[in-house]
Amino acid sequence: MVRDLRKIHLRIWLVLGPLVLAAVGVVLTARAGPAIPDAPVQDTETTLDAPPLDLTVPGADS
Amino acid sequence: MTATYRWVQWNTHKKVYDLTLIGICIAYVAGFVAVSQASPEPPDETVTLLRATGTLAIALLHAILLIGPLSRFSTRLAPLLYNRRHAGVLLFTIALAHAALVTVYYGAWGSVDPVRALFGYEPGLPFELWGFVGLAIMFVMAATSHDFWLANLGHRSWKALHMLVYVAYVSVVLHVLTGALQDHTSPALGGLMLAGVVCIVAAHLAAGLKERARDRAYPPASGDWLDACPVDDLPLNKARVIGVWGSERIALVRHDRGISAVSNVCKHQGGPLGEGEVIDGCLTCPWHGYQYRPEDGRSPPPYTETIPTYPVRIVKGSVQVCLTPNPAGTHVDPATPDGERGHG
Repeated sequence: MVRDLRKIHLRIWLVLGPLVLAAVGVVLTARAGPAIPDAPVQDTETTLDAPPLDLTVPGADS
Repeated sequence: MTATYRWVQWNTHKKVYDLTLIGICIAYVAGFVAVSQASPEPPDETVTLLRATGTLAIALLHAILLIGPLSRFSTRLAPLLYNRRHAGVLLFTIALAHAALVTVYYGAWGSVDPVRALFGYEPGLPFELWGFVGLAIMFVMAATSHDFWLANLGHRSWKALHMLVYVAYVSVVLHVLTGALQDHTSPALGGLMLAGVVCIVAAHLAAGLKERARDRAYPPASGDWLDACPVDDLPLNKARVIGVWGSERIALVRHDRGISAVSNVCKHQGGPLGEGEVIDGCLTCPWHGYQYRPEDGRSPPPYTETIPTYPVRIVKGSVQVCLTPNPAGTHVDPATPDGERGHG
């Protein structure tokens, strides 16, 4: 009877232990943020080739 | 032990145990509030209190869950095991206070409808539901913690019901993971939670594996009688746990009337009788002090508990135990080194 309970206890923790640890690990990892920084958004080559902005205001005195 | 039901069988040990526990809890809450209010930007007093009760409940739950497995490694923890149910009832009270504060603060004062939050109608993770599940299980356990329920449900059903504490634990961990840990950027809370889970899992696995190794180390049954140990290896008024592969363990006891063998399983909560000692002529369970006469496995009057006994004999200075148990409460004459043999 008690021998069976001891077995059940061990089996419960062999399953439950990794699951709970994994859940905590996932949440803590997610809170810490991504380990790899985001790729740069700006394409410098395209920016250099882009035409200069026209900053003149129509009708304004030059 | 109880012959009749009372609310609590108070004795000095229980009073000291409970007062110490309550004192620690009050000191924790007072300390938590003092530190929080001394910070540069102190939170609202109610928020401070609900954080104090929440963290205290989690800490107490971890402590209660550690008592069982750690007591398999050191008998010094037996006094903590003795009144573990009192700690469980206190835990439920603290968790209920936490839930009441949260409901009143966020519910009645207007920012969140507690029913909508509980069943996930509010945006975000339904962390309230996990807390509610944990609290509901703690309520069932606290309500059935009395020996009245233990006697009427039966040891096995009662134990199975109270193993729901593991479900409660998982619910509480999820409650923290999807609640408090989503708001707080400090690594301290997350680190503490991780450390707590690691301790709980490691302690239970270590205790379970130790007991399994002990079971497997017992020899296979070869014949009806087990050669237990030399007579001289059994100190007076002490017990020893023996067993064979695949069977329940047996408690071998040397007392002033000779050597007897009874089931190792206490009728109360399945405590290991063979790890107890003889007090007032009775084998006494190390967990809760239940007593049995070694010769017949009966509790002394007015108590009525009985456990199986085993025939014992002494052959050439060696104690032998018959592996077929007698019905609970059967008298067996103790074996003595002079008479060599018990029978019954």
